[in-house]
Amino acid sequence: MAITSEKMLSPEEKDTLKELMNIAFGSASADLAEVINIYLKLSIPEIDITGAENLADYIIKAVDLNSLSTLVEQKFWGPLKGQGVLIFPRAEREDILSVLHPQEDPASSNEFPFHPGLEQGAFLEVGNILLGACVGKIAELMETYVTYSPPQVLYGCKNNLDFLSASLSKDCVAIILKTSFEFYKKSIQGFLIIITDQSSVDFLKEGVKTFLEAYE
Amino acid sequence: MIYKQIFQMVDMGIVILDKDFMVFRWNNWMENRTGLNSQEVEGKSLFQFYPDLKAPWFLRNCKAVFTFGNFAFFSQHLHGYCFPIKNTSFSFLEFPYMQQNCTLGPLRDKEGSIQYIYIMVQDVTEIAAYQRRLSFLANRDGLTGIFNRQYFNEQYTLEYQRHVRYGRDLSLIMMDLDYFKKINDQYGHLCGDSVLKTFTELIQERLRSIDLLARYGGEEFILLLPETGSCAATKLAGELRLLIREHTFTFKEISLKLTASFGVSSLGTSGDSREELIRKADAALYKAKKEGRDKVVLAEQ
Repeated sequence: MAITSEKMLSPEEKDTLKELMNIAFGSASADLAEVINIYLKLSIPEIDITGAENLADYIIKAVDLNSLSTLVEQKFWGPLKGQGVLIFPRAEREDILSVLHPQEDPASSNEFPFHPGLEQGAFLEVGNILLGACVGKIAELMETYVTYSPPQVLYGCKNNLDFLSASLSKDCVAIILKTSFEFYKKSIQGFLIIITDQSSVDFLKEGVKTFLEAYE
Repeated sequence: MIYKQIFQMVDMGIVILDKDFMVFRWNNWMENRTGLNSQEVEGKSLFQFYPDLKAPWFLRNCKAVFTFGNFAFFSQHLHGYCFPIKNTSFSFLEFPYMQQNCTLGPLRDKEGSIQYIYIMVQDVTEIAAYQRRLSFLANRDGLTGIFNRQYFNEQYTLEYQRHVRYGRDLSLIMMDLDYFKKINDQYGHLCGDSVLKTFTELIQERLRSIDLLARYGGEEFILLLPETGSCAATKLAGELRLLIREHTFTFKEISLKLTASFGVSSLGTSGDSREELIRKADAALYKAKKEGRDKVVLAEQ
């Protein structure tokens, strides 16, 4: 039987989770700027709940996914377990390289040791750092740690998205934490989606409760 | 005690660094492979021994791990290696240095704050060598050694996507040796094989490193030209035509003068599909044959 979103998280819990994410992402973008010179603007996050089998369709609709899109996917596990996905609906090669090379012409940079994977390497690195920063900050606020699998780059098509729900059981419900982002002074924009499922619900609820209590 | 033993006995390199990139721990595996013993390295800056690691890509990822507690991955596929360690295995000619998958991660104290980061180094040289060999065998034509049709199709799909993404030029040249069947019939298949080999060698020598020559059918070959418009592609086809025409093919005591025909198609702003571009090159080649052979025909855009 399908679990309704209200049964998973109450409206109040949803709002608190949103607030918690907002703080986590704000802190992540501040640290990214200060420590790694990546200047990122994140929008107010949204929370959605959908059936695992509808996940690919949900994402395609939510982010206007097309064949020109590039995705970076990374799994994380611990008390909070799931997948992080960065989606660049239409990222130009030069744009993604310029995120890592703010002051120079990326094409002439020898920063990456091997040239053939330059573009893929840049997506992987930006994805790994952004997802690590955002997931890491959520975990930090919930006073826990997570570990990560290596990220992978995918190109936008439905087949590539179906595997996202493969790690969720069929009748499972996916909790989607979504935000859009853009890099300051760059024409590059995208979406950051964190997908988790029932197995993390209790932990999320507990985290939200602790978070609320701290402010009461 | 047990953890210490594991640290020393595990079949991978483990390096522990503090926030100033000073080496805190250097395990036996690293000692054996690098020739640097732990007393020599511990307490000193990693960059004193590996100055190439003092690069933005490495520093940025270390800082991220210290700040966010995330992991960083330097795969062999993209980076080759982080620590230049001489390869002493059978593949040393292909890979002078050990190929590595490296992972960086955080190490926390009791309070949960990150005091150190670890680098784990996995030797994947043997896997990389087998992968390279397998991909060579899977992607090549057994007779000529150039790429096969399957590899062409994969690369063509990628180049076509690149064209759609970035609007870059892309051209194809389809080519065919004129009257090749006669060579086989008159001088035998070994002579025919030798001609095909020489033909592809001649073409290959004339190409840029980014161009891709593949065997498309029996004596039909296809050339994928990224970043190349119709003028440059037609000019190249003309040069290749002369190259073949002027060459004397030899097999044992047989000397042959041969010609080839070429069909060129280009993706400019025409918006042709992936299949349509191949069809156009094929149709242009057919036209070149029909109009007397030893010709270059550019398909209509």
